[in-house]
Amino acid sequence: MNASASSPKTAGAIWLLAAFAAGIIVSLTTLAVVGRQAAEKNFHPGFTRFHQKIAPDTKYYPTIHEMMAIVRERAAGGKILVVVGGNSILYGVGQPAGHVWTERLQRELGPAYAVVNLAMRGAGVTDCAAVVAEALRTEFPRQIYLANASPTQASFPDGTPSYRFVFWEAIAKGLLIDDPTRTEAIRERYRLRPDTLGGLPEQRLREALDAILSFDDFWNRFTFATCNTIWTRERPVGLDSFAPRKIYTDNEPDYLTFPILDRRPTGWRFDAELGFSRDVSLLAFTLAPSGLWVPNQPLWDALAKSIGGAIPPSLRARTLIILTRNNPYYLDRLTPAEQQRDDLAHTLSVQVWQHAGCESVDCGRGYTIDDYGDRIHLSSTGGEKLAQQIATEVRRISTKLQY
Amino acid sequence: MPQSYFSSGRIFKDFGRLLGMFALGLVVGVFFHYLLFRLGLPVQPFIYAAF
Repeated sequence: MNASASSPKTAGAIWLLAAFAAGIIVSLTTLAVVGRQAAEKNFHPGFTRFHQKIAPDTKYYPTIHEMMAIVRERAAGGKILVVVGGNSILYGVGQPAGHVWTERLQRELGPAYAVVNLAMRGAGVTDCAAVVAEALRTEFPRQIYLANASPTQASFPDGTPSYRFVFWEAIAKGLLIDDPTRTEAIRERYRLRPDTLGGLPEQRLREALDAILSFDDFWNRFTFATCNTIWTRERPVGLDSFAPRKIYTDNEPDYLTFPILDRRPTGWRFDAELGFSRDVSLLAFTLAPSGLWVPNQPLWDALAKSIGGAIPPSLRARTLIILTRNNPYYLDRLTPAEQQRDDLAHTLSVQVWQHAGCESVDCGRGYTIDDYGDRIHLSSTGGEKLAQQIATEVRRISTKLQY
Repeated sequence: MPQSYFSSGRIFKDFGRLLGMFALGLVVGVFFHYLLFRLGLPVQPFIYAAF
């Protein structure tokens, strides 16, 4: 009797459970499909760069498809694609919207080119923009990738820890070249530097799930266009905190309006910045008894090896590495020997990048103190000079590669 | 005479419960989807110092 009474109840419970599970499945499937479509089209109208309110600085992590959509829209119509990566120097810190060096570069190059600034603060040569350019290598074969580096700065094969999420997302989605040298370099990186492994297994699991469920694309678009879902200390509180990210404009300050003492500090700040300027080439050379600077070969070999593991060979000819210099406000105060060492470091670094098959150019020589806003970042006037110099390089590479 | 399953209106009650569970599943799915997105983000934002 008990069995016959419980049978309908059990059946009812199973039906309810099935309805609940069906709801979850329908929900996840719908969101995955919508998420996939969400980043198909560019949802950043008038994009200039990933300013702080739409960048990891405020916990907004652009997805690979989101960035690819921006590039697709900008480079449509058979334009030669110029993807700008690198760090805050190429991002244009201290250059307000409308005066960013990449906007000037676009004007210099004209409508046959599409310049897209995907540089991010603290990013390296292999971060976000590099991944996007590689993912679009077939769709936009006429492309040039720019990034900046300091003379002996080695490149992480899968990006710097703060930005490697883009690389692993692209890997999970099968967008990158299968380069055995890079794969080995990644293994070696984590074998030699296990301290940088932190969070990577979880990151890879997350990216594998995202490749199926597209939650990053869905919620990023929702956060940008509809309602903010990522709260940080840098954002307003209360109801305003729900405002979509799209309402925020690029409010990068203009270095040229800063008090002169901020741009040309004295006292301990000057001493610290001078020390940083000295450190750029400190380990790159040793002074021989003859008075000549001799390259510290292991360091330069490590740089050459890191390039080999970081950039697939087929992409090197269209890669332009910009060696940026420090503000002459500091460089001019180094000793003559240190100035010579700094010069040599830039010259040798250009040669190492070129020897690896990349294009490389030394920028900043001859810039004035006013062309800088601080020790490393360019002001709008410095940005104009950089744009002119890089436009020449981009045209030269375009001709060389028969674009 | 006992009423039939249909005429007693139980069908609507049971269907309503099924629909309710389905809707709950939809909501839980959305929440889970958001959770996957949100929990994977770093707790602290990337703080830009000077690069």
